[in-house]
Amino acid sequence: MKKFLFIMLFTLIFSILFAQIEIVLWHSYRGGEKAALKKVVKNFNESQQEIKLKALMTPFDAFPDKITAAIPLGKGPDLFIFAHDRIGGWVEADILESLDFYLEEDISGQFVDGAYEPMIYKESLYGLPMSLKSIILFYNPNIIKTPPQTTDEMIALAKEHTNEENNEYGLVYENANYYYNACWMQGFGGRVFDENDNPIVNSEECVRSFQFAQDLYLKEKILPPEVSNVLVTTLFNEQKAAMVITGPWFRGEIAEDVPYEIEILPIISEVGNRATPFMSSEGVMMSTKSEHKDEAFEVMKYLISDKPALIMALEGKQPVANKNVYDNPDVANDKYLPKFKEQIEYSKPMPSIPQMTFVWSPASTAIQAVINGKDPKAVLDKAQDTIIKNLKAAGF
Amino acid sequence: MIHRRSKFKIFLTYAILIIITGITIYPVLWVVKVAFGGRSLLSTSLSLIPEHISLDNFRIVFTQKPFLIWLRNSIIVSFVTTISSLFLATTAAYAFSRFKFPGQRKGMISLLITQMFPGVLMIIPQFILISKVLHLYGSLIGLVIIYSTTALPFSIWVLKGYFDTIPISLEESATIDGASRGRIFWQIILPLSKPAIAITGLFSFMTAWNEFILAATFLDDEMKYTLPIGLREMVGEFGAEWGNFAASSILVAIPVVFLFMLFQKFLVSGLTAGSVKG
Amino acid sequence: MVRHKYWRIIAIIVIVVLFALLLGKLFNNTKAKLQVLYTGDFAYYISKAIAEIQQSASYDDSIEINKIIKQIEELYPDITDIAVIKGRYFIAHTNQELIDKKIPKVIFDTQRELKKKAGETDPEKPYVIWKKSEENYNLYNIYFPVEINDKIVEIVFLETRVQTFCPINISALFIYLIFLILIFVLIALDRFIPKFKFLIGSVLFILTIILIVNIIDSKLQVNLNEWNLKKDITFTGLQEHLTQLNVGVSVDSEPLTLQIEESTKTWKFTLSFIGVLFMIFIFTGAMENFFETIIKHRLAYAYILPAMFGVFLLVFFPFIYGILIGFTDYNLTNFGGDLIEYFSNFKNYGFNNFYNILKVINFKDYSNFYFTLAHTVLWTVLNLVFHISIGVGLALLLNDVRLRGRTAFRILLILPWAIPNYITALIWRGMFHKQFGAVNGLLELLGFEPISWFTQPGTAFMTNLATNVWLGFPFMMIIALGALQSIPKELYEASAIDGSTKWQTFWNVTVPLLRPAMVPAIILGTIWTFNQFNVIYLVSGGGPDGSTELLITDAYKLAFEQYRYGYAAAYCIIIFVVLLSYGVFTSKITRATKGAYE
Repeated sequence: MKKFLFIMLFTLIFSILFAQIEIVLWHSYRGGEKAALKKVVKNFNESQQEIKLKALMTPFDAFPDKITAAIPLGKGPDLFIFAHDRIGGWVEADILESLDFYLEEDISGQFVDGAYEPMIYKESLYGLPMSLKSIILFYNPNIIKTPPQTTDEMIALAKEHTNEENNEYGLVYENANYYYNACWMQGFGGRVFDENDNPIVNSEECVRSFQFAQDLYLKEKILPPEVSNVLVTTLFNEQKAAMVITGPWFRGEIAEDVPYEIEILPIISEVGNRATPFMSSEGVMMSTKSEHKDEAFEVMKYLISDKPALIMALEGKQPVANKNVYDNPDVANDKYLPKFKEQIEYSKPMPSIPQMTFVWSPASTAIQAVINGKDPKAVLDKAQDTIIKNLKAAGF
Repeated sequence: MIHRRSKFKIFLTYAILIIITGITIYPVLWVVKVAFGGRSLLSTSLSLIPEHISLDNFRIVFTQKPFLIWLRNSIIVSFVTTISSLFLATTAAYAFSRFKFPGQRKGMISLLITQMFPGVLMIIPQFILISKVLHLYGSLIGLVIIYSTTALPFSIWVLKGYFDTIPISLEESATIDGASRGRIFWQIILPLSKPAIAITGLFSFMTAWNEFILAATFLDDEMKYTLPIGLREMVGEFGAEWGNFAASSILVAIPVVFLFMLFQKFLVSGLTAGSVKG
Repeated sequence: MVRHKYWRIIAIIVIVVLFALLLGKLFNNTKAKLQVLYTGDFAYYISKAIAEIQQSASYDDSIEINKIIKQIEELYPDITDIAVIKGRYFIAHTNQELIDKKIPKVIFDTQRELKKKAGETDPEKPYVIWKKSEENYNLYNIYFPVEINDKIVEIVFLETRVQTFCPINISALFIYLIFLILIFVLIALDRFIPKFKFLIGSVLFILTIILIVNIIDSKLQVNLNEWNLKKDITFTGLQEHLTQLNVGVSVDSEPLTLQIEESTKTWKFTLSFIGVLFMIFIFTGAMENFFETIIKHRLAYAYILPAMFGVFLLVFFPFIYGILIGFTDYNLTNFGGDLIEYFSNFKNYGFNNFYNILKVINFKDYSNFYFTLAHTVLWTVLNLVFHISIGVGLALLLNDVRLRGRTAFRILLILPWAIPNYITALIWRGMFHKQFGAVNGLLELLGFEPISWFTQPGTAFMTNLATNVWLGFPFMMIIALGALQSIPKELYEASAIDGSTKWQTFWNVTVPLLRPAMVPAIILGTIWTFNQFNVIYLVSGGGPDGSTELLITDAYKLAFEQYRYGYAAAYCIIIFVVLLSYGVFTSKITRATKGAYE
């Protein structure tokens, strides 16, 4: 009994002396990114005694809904990592804590151009950017020696390597997905919203870009039918796709024996602009219901600092947002990371206003119809009407 | 049996069974192919044999992921769910089948009604209930409670239906012999209802075994995850580790098949089988 | 009998104590109300102090600030804290320890809000804002950004009064509930003594009234809080005073007396209604009957209670919640608000959601409700037909003892059920791929043209159907297999001896005996198929052009893609009503035909 009491007392004293504040961080990283984050968390916990950082993985499928359900009830994490495009909705729903109070100095210069701004909503900062994701051109060096610089080159090259009989295709990307098509849309000069946040998905530029996407498939015949992300991976891994357009996450899906190189997306020959994909800035954000906001902010600052960012870049293969990392010789000499950074410069952040969620469904329907041969103008006019109608019904 | 069947009929039976089974297992074999043959979910060839057979996916699942912990959690949750919902369902179904009391029919109907409200919008209020009222957020007990009650309406209906087919005369003779209600229930009704109990047991087990959304909403620690969440962890926004997913899917299916093999003995041992056989 | 008397005495004592507690609770609230009223002229004095500060010409950071604080303390001795902030830090504070410490975030946020508001009108203008924060405190922060010798400092007055209140007095409610239980126990103990019934009834009556008053009172008090603060601005001449100081005032101009009336009206109404119902329940002897029934059938109720309790606990509350949401206009910006508050306002009641869903009938528009409903019904019927026919057919084949290898067949046939459907649904999607899919491969082998399955509504529907039939028939098969066991072999033999054909035997022996087990499986299978989500989502994705959406996938999209929670909940209520009518319909049918077979 005495011994027991002694142990109890000891643990009590011990826990008082070393009372650590636990900060919980949710993420949906997998594979290499997850392992790298684990290492970052370990480093952080070893570097100091006051805060204990705990990283918890939640499958991506359930992630946004779980945040939406748990945080308002005070059950969520202190911090979580997510792309910037949900910020608007989450701020309106009082889920995200504004960082203006905690952040005293201007740190926007620490990041790669374009990483910081997407984290701002209604003039307040809601997240610190960790990595940047945009699509890029992957190609198989066994099939293609020099990557195309313009779309004309790309089409010519792709035609050369398309052989339907053998199930071989020059270019594979999810052409019926609005997200992927945004690179043409924005390259032609089209936008989702105008300055006043009104949707303009049926502008002339958008119509031209949809026409372009339709031509790639129906006229040039360089794409396989019904492309899904599963098919992209399959064809690339079977070395039956010369070029694919996809994002940095694809690197985890390529089989060990398949070689790959990347190149920034080509210039659209028709207009002379580079294809400009959507960019999502993935950042760490704070819950309004966190009980240790000052400590949580310390963690946030750590996560974006040079050392962890370097780990995320080299071990997690992430195109990180921290600018200094790209000066590191290991990163600078990396075959891929500088390319991703270059592509970021030719990209536009995905709109983060809540209105964006109303665009996805009608726009996807539209691109599907166009790919299957419908007239882009008519289809996009209809999409525009639907979006406006739904926005109105939802009170925007 | 009195009449004999022609050879043609036997042939036809087998032909139908083989064709249907073939169609049925083709997608399953595809899962097997993915599990043993790499990382792509699809393939440009229709062959069911992978080009390179390897056990890499299984190795990764066992070594790089806390698969065994998820398995343990799933087994605990599923078994407790099965047992608690079986207990609750058999007692309730017996009362619904054998007693006459006010609200009997309304009770049965209201059980059905509970199934009618779409689950999509129940998640947030259920979340409030489990986390704020019962304080069971993040614990497996919370899941067990939800799963048991989810499985109950169906189980009660099936068991009640089955109990209804058991002749009351059996009980009446037992009552004359002086047996109590409880004894009749445990010693006569339950042993006779093995097929229905096997079905509802399997059903409750599957409810807990495969459920994803609620589990993902209520649990947040990887060490407490059940298998479906663990599996879904392999799916990202833009891609997935399909090879590992397929391998885990097969591993997930094995206990179910095993359980079915165990239960199907009861499925074929009928009500009065003993007296008729031989 | 002696024991009973003891019980009664103890119970009466407990009742008296609880009664006292309840009264205490009520008293407490009144006090809170008084205190709040007393804050009335607070702001007025503050503004006076500010004016004085502004008039004093000399201003030196360290000395003058303390002077200001002194002045205010004299003017208003009840103030607990006064602070002056600059940027994110306190530069002066009545509590010395807090000087140079970071200000609380609440203050920072209010400042921002203040600046934003000021930015909308006149960026130079300092602003005054009143804010109530932290649920269980009456904490008023009053900010006066004051310009003194060209420097703008923000002065903060923190008045904290720990005063708990909540819209519904939870503890009073709790005590009341304990009370009810006690009385139920008492009644159960000496069930049928009439004079006690009357006594207990009267006590309950009084208590109910007290509870009603109490709840209304606490509700009233919350409104009074807001009212007072705002009233000060408009009624004590503060606004004019501040205008003179060139300080903008944010005033919500809505007359607040009206708001109080409206909100309490609803409460009074609902609560009196419940109270009256309760009284009727007691005085008509319904309660007695209720207990009599329970006692009479206690065994049956004991058997079903645990199950029913569990089901209703987890279904009832979410269900009510969902229904309430269906009548709101909740969307992204106002979701998560207090439902009680929402429904305190009569203006918010309405059937707008339902009207908007149901008003346009158009079977050609894929996004129209009626098209989707028709599609969902077709989907459900076809699925069920295939599930049952394949499931029962296979069960009959596999039930034949003479069949070799039936165990193996059985196990192979349940595999679709055993493997997680997330992956198998995606594999089915792959099988329908135009170029690489097995289905088109088979068609080409047979000499047909390959079909582009996902581009036409009809073929896309078939892909979903094939997948769901595949996923669902093993379940029906297992149920049927189990049910077949309940059919005694003698019946078949008897039927054969009667000279019935196989078909007649199936129809006269097998079907009626399969019914009890199959009916629940079919009814529930219908409900599940009606609300099937995964298959649509993973196989056709609702496309092309939303033509293969089911009601449930539409509801999901409304809720989670468009954040129209109220509208989506209304959708779900309609789904529920459709299923409910189906349930009523089938139960009528089964009841009507039951006799024919038994």
